[in-house]
Amino acid sequence: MKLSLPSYLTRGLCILIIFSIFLTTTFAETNFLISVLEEEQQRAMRMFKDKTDLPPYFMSYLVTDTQSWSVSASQGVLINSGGGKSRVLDTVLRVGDFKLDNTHNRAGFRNSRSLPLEDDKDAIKSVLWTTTDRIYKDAVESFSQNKTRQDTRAVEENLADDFSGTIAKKELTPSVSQKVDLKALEVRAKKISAIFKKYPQIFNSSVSFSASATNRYFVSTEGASLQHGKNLATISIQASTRAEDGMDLARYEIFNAATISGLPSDEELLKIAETVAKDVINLKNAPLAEPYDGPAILSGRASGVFFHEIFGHRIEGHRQKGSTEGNTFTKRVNQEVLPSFISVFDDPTIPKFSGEDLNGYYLFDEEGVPAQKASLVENGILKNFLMSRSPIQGFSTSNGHGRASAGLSPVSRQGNLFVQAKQTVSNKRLREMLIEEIKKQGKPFGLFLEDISGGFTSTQRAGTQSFQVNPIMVYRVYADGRPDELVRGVDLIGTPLTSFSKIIAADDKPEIFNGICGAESGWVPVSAISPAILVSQIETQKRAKSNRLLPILPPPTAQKAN
Amino acid sequence: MKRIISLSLILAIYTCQILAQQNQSNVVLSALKDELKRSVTDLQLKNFEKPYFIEYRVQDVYTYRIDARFGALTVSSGGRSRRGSAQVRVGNYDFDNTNSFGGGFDFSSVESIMDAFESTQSTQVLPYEDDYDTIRQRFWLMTDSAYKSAVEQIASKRASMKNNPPDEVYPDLTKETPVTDISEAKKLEIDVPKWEKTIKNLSAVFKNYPDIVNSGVSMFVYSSDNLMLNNEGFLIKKPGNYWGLNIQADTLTDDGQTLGVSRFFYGKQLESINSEAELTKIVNEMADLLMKTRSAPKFTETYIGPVLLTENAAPTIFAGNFAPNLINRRGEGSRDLSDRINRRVLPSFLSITDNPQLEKIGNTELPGTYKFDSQGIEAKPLKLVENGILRNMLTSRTPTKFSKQSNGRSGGISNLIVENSVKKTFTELKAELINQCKLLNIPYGIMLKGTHSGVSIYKVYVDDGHEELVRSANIDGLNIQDFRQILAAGDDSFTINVPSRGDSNLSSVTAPSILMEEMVLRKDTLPKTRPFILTNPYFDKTK
Repeated sequence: MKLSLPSYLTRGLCILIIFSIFLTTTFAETNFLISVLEEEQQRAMRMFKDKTDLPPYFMSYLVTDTQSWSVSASQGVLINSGGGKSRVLDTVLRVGDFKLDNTHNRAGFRNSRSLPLEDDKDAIKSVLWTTTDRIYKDAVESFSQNKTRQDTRAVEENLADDFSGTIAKKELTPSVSQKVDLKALEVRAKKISAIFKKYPQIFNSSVSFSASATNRYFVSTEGASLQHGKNLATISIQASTRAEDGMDLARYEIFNAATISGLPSDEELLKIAETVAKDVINLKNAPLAEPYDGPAILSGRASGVFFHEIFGHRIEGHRQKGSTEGNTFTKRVNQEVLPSFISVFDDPTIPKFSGEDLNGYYLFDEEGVPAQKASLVENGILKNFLMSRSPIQGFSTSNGHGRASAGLSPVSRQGNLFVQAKQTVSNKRLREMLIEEIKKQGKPFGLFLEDISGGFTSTQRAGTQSFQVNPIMVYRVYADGRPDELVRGVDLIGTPLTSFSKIIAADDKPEIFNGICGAESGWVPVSAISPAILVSQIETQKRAKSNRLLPILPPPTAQKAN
Repeated sequence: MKRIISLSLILAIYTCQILAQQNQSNVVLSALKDELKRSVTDLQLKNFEKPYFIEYRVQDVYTYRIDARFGALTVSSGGRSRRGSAQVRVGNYDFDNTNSFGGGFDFSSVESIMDAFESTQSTQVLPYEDDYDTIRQRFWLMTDSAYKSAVEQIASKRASMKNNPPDEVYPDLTKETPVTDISEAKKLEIDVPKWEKTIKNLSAVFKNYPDIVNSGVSMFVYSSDNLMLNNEGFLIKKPGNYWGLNIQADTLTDDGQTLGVSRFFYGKQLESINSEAELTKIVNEMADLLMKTRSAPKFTETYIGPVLLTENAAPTIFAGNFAPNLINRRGEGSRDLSDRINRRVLPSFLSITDNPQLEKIGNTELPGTYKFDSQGIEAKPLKLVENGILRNMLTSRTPTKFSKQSNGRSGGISNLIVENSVKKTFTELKAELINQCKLLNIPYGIMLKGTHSGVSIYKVYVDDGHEELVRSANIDGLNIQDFRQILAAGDDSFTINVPSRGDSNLSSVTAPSILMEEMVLRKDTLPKTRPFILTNPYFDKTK
């Protein structure tokens, strides 16, 4: 049984490609893959209709074609360097009808195969053929089981249909590609990673570049034919060490852009690497945080992660459906779930925010539905959910949030999650308010959570329904004017609904957190945009740690230097 | 004057470059030596014993893989990587932290999971480029982690021995004479576009067979350098190169049975791969055989009787059911043959030698050839079975009741050769099979004719000797005792290559055709696959 829904956000700036977005069909000439997929789909449907009494009522093929590169180095030498191509076919085939079909209560089934990398019609069709035939036979078997089960069991709590229709679009945008010079990246990764040679106390460090060009091809029996692509480039810099008491400490920085040339320059990256190194050393020497209960400020980026984890994942449509899910928000539509000055929406159609590109931007989701804005919370009142093509009671259609990585079945996921505050204060005033709150509550200090590495949240009923977020850079803010003090080993804990009620103010400078989020449908790029927030009460615990001692011998390089 | 200076400058730079290059290859070794020396001298936790044995390994690997299906590429990728590992033993040769019984990881708390994870960190991915400081730094941490785990392991081993004393105690590590041996070999480098083309062409052969459902051809090269040194004075560097080629296809019979053929080829040098024309012929033969098997009658009965194993079926049965029992293992559950030393394990006309020095048998290249095993022990030819009597076992540096010394077989068999002193022709063997059937009063005998991973099953009829291919029979596994019931063996010899655990990654088994007194075949009981609804698009003329 799955007890937790891991979700992991990593930091980054992202510049998504704005590569000729055509809103209507622009290509008279049909694309090779699209036409092969269409031909084989039509042939299969014709045969299923001719030869069986239970032909599919819906079928789709999604091909994800990815070319990727990666280079990583540690302390000035290469760990790996290379690239590769992959082509993954995801087939959806439904028998029965929208109300009850073969997928009923069978989330997470996967029907993925790899396809030949070359545009060879015969070879691709041979895979489509065997895959489609097998999936159809499995679907018929599942459907008959589902039907029997429904006839013999009590009426389920949630009476929503298994699938919803959508308007089929035909839209073929030009394919994306990247030119990546691996040799140049090797030189850069080596140069930047060499910084860490100066810090013998850092046990492990690396600098990695990666880039990908992904093109997706989608056809469905509803008449959709879509081609859309996305380029992505990433640089990550990480370093870790261990404190005297055995606590492992890591710090990393990740930046995203559409292409390698959009990433920060070497000059900037060298500076960032230095900061990462110094942060790790500072953390190693920082005092251990004690469990704390009191007021805190979450920076805009930290608040973005907080909302992504604790709110965003619980507002995903399919989580309202399962009998094992906690259903935090299921029955709270049109009720107040957040302070009335806060609104939340998710809009994957926004490519940029205040000049910066957003990771969670896309044109179509993995079910062929155009991306749309979903207004989730208006002035504190819950209005909507993130919807895939799996309907829930009261919300029958998709709003274009059915997302997945190649090879997995889509579920509703976040894209660009925006947290907006109607009343805001300046950042300076927010800090003053924190100090006032510290005094009011008679606490020795408050906390400032500057950066969060990620976290996990359990939405399942059997789990604790709680969350845990792991901030990396946390400072004690003293009411008496002492300078802020870095502490280590802080984990943010709590239960979702109470946490949101403690938000008392927000500042006027929203920040962007770009990252990659992992859940049952795989890793998808996301963004969270939020102002800094002041909460009157936050609960932290000590981070679990090993009791391993520091290495017995000093670092060999340090000894050599002596 | 000016000119001369600049010339000598160039010379100086040139010399420096050469020196730098020479040093490069020694960078890894000197970093390992220096860290090993420091660890041996200084590594000790207060109130605990120092390590008595530290061993470092660095393995450099280059691999490349090409797969194709139906004439098109499905995989073409590869790359370089380097891994390192540190082994630390505390205690002494007679009793140390290893070979513990009952062990296993403790998952009772977050802390113990983290510790368990940590103790596995003594093997790591390393940068594949040479850098003295980085190598030393990584081995510093790996040694530290391995030492701390060793200290904990020996404490829990002592405690568990006190609570539950074993009946017999053996030493934990054999004492051996240190060896230094550095050997290099040319790296396997594959011409990617050329091989992509060949693999694609081979996979396209299956386009001629409408009844083949899935098929594929895959090839890879693996080229490694393996460096090992320890504080006993062992220093071994040796290459491990091999390539593999896999061809497979499957079909669905009209009665819902999935049938497959597959064939693996392995070798050490790319030159030893068959030509594309020869391979094409093999692919066609495989596909033809599959089609013949598809239309062959189904095996529906239970057969208990004599079986003639010929071609690759003979070495396959020795590789799978006999050879593993020749590896001497520790532990009460071990099913090796060491209890049968000086007892009969084969008929008196059969002997077995394991020969790591033999390069070829006839024209067949043997891939299991090596000089030192991965523990640095020199390997010599070993007579394992002499005229049917078990004389020796394959041993490593882990002592057992049987073994006090390693004979350089930590990777298992090298080139295992089954020799026959009473040679029968194939005709004689077949006649003997029929003769046995007559004694049992059964209408036919069974002949298994094999490729490495699959065998074709033939009924050989007693009345006229004709052979009939049948499909879908399951062969019951053989016991070690069954090998004593071999009635006769051929004048022929077949060699198969099999993957092994050693650095060379390959070993070979050679055996003549053999006639087993009794084997059991049953009808296949696998669930049936529903027939295809969709027709094969490549042969679909309706579109």
